Order: sequence, then C-alpha cells, then structure tokens
Amino acid sequence: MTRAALFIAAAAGALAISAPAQAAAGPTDPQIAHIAYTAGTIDVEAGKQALKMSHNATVREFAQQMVRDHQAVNAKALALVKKLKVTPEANATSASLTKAADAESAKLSKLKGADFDREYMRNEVAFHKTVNGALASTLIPSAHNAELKSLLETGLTLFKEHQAHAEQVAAKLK
Amino acid sequence: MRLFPRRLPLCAVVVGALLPVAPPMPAAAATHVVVIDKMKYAPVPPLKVGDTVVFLNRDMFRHTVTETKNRFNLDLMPGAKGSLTVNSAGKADFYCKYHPGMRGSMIAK
Repeated sequence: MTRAALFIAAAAGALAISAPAQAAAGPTDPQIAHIAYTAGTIDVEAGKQALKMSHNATVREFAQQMVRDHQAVNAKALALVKKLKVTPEANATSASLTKAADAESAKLSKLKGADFDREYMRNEVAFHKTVNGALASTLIPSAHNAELKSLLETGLTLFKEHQAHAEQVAAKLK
Repeated sequence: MRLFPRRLPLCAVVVGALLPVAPPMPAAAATHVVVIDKMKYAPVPPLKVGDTVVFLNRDMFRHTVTETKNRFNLDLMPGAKGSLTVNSAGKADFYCKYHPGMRGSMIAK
C-alpha cells in the first residue's frame, strides 16, 4: 500500500477507534498536531533521501524546497504547542503514516537514477494530494484552537502549491 | 514601469534610513510597506513614480517577488525585507518562484 493510500485508511481507522463521542467530533487538537507534525517530518525525511540519491537538478530543487518548507511549518507547530501547553498525542493515524513512510523509504532505497526520481515524485504527488484531502475534510474542520486552525489553513495553501509543483516535475520525468 | 530592486538586509535598511548622507528622496515620493504573510502578498497601494515599495516577508517560508517579465526579483528569507523604486509609470505583475500560486500586481501613475 502506498504512503498516500495508507493515510486515507489510517485516518479512517483513527476515527473508528476513538471513543464514540470523539469519533463523531473527529480527532482532538493534540491528535491533529501529532498527525500534522508527523506528516511534515515524513516529507522532510523523504526530501533528505532524495537529496542524497538524486542527481536530477529539478528533483533536487523540489526536494530542497520540501525540506525547507516543511521544516518551517513544523518549527511553527512546535512553537505553537509549546505556547498552548498542548502535548501532541500519538495516535493510530500517525503510527500508520510512519509505518508507510518507512516502507516507501525502503522501496526508494533500492532504486537509482531516473527510476528513483520517478518513484520519489510519484509518491510526492500522491502524498500531498492525500494530506491536502485530509486537511480539508477532517483536520481543519476538527481543529478547535483558532491558532492551530490558522496554521493548518496556511499549511493547506502551501501543500497545494507543493502538489501542483510535484505534478509538474513528475510530468516532465515521464 | 521600471523598478530597480534594492534588496538590503534588515539592519542595512534601518541604518540607511537614519544616516544623514542617505540620498534625498523626491518631495512627493512615498514609501509603502507590503507585508507577505500566510502565503499571500498584501495588496500594493496605488503608486507614483519615485515611490519606494518595501516588501517585508513576515511568513515562515522563503518567498520571492519576481516580476513576470523578469524585470525585478527579490528573494526574501523569513523576516527579510527588500525594496524597489518606481522609475516609470505602468503595471507590473509578480509572483513567488517557490510558490507560483502566490501572485500580486502594482500600478504606478
């Protein structure tokens, strides 16, 4: 299962395993913070892997931007949870995201050259598409704290840019 | 519209503004600060020739102010500012090279 596909399943699973009252209301703010931070960390690590493996200038430029932008969002998220005195709460969605990312990383580590570039970019498109869907449909509507919601909304604007950029780069590699 | 980028570090902009040796501005010229935040450029107010536009990147991301015809380009790290001086009337459209969905324009008379 791809990282993106698993995220959908994991998001659904997280809702299903929550207490009935929470399931109806969606994930809590501490859970949302953990999911968002985990997703950002995953893409930073994927970007670092691409910078280590790829020799394609366009792919490397994209990867550098992913590392830079996602690190910036995560730094802001860390500062926010500290300010709000919220402890991000590990959950099934975050765990599934990490597990899927590890599998994708292992898959990528066996590829080289153009094969690596195509798979990295294919996954970046799928990953951002799915994260954007989750942000718009579940995470942003479920967030209660205004600052967290605002950060997620900025994140969604940013990640839509990333998705469009990834689609452009991926199309050039075909 | 002709615009000359004057990308300066924050401290240089502040110091330069305080020095008596700074070149005198035309009497009618104004300085407009345009903030970049949350993946958006604030609207640029109507400009006159001789005005200066200072772009202040308050966002958490690196952004550029890149003219679509490549007549100017400011590359701004988070917290940085850069300025342009309007040298002729006209319209200029700009975008962010890193986030091309971010777009803005300015009109000078």
